[in-house]
Amino acid sequence: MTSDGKGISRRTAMKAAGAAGGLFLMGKAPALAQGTQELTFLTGEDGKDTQAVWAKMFKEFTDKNKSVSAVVPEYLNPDEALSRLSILLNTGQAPDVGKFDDVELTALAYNGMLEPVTDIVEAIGVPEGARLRYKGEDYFVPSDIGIPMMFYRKDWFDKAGLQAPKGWDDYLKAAETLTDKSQRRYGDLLVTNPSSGYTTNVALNQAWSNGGLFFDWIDGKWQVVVDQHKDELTQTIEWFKKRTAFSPVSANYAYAQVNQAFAAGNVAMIEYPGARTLNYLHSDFPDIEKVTGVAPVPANKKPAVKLSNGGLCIFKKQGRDPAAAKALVRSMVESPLYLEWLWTVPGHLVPTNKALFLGKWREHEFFKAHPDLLATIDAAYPSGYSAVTGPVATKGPDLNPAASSVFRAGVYASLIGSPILDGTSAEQTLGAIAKSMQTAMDKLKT
Amino acid sequence: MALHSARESYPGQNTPGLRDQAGGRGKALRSIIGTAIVAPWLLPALLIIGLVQIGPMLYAIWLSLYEKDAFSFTWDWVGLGNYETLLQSAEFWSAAGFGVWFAVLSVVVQLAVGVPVALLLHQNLRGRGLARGIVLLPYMVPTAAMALVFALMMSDIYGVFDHILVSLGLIDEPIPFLGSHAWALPATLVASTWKWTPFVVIVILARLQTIEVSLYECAKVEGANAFQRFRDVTLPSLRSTLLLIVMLRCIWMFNKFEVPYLLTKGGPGSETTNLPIYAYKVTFLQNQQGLGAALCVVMFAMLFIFASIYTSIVKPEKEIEVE
Repeated sequence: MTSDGKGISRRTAMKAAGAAGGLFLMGKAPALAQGTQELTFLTGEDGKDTQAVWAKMFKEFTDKNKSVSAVVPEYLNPDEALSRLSILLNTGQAPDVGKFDDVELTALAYNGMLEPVTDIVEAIGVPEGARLRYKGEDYFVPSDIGIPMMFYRKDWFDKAGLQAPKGWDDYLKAAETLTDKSQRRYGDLLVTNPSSGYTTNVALNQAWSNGGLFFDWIDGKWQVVVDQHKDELTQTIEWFKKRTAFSPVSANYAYAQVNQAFAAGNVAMIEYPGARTLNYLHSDFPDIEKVTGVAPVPANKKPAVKLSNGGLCIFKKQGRDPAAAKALVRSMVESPLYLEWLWTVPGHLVPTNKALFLGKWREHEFFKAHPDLLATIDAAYPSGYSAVTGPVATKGPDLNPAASSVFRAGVYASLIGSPILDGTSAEQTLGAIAKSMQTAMDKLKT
Repeated sequence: MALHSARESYPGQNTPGLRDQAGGRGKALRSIIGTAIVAPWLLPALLIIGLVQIGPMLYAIWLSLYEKDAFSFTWDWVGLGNYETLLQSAEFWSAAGFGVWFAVLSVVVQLAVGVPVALLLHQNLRGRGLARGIVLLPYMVPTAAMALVFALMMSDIYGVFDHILVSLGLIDEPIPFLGSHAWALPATLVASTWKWTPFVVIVILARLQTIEVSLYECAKVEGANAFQRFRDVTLPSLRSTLLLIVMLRCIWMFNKFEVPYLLTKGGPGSETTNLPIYAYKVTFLQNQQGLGAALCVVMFAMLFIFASIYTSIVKPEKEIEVE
């Protein structure tokens, strides 16, 4: 028996799977009997609170859907989840449902691995700006948005008579003022690790804020525009280089190390794609939380807001029961527990639904304790863009699989990594980036 | 004293045996019966080796001939294209070069530390048992846990090493041990030495304990001093063990992933990226599975060639006898 005393045992399920496999090999399509199937769920979300809410959601779903005996989740950290997904896909064991970010979902949609979910997206009324389509179809149900923000030490700023910086120049000035390496105190934390998605997010964000684009939607198709934006991108590189004077050497840092560095009380300002930093401080470092302020990420010409859209998807080719998987996805975003899910990391998981965003979502206690967090999110919400739809998300173009591919390969991260770590000139760096992007574009199947 | 190969003068090695004298038919029959008896016992082992070693190896070779994205079912035949891409890639040569350099340096340092420690622990000292246990501790610590602790200790933001150095006034600013071009390799070497030197100590110590005491007594009678006894008795007796350690540790350090990856992520830049880290990045971060497989095949070929040349030149199995 399963743990909740219902359904069937794993042994019986394996026997049934064996029998079904036998029938399949004999050319007869296996018909799964009602109540004999489990759905599998894979995600890179490994927060215990989120998992607890999802467990309740899955129970709620199986209680209502007798054809599904259980939802079997696999929770890993974001990097592990992607490695695991690639292994599962290549061994014919894709999960039924997954939750990933837009970058991975774009690659999966482009490669035809996902079931279209346009009907769910339209039925639940996802706002136009949050939808990401490929060839006219939605391939994932946007469930939450991550908004980049800056966390800074209010006490140090107050003592130095500084305000939270808004632009690049203010930022450098504040970082310089607050740096005292002999006391192991740094004004800034610039991550140069080219393998980390964190570096990619920061690079994209600041390039965008300075008006620098890598891809643009021109004449109804995506085109590489690095050459046309050479000046803006070069300025961005130069700004990153200046920041290294006030930052520790962070060549091996990723998301976790950024938060740890700030929590250790040695860094004055960090950028993070969401409010997880503040949640981490709240649970583990309340003393640092008390002296931490939240503000929009300093930007040069326009707000630096690269949104990361998380979404639920259904695997098409290997998924055992797409109809049941669709029902699960829909139940997750329509469940009364949806808000509880978003609140497990308050401010980090922002709803895609504008009514919810403006309504009940903001009633959480955490926002009362951190009004600057809510103000930062409010300022960013309407002005964000996605890495895979670039500057034209609201025009509703196709997702850009080439942008997803170079994102995953760390090409954007080389905007920071190459000039600083390898001493490459801005021109060489941009040349290599443009070449990688064009190669990715050329590889796309027509 | 002089040394010579024990196998060079194996007594009776050229004497014809009974089997050679037996008739051809009887020999063939015995061979068939022997095979029939032995084969079923070998079968399970052969099956397991086939499934867990040969199978994946053949799959990797097959995959290396295709361009294959991790998030796609499409396999595009490229023949030897992935190998061509690798051999033309500066990153590949840089990773291979670092891998060789890291392996050689690690093994030299591990031997330089491990052999004296083993010799010391072989002495009849007070508390020897406890000391042996303590020396072996690093080998028992899970590698991932050890690497993460070293990463914390070597952090330039909150690491204890920098804290001590700055507090003592030995340096003005923290040293980014894991993030600077100058320090990343030494820092990785320190962690690797701490973790794997006990292996050298265990193996050498085990061999030291099997050297016949009479050899030392003989040497003493001949008037050899401590250094001469080490040079002419201990060292020759350790020859095959040392050569085996060098080969195994070279292979293992060349293949090492977890410590350099957890400490430096292969950085700064690609400063400490060896071939396993490069293969991981290509396969799981860039999702180019065909290229990643080609990389693993090349790594295997490199190690196979190294092991073949090494064993044929230095012949670690060759025993040396003290006359």
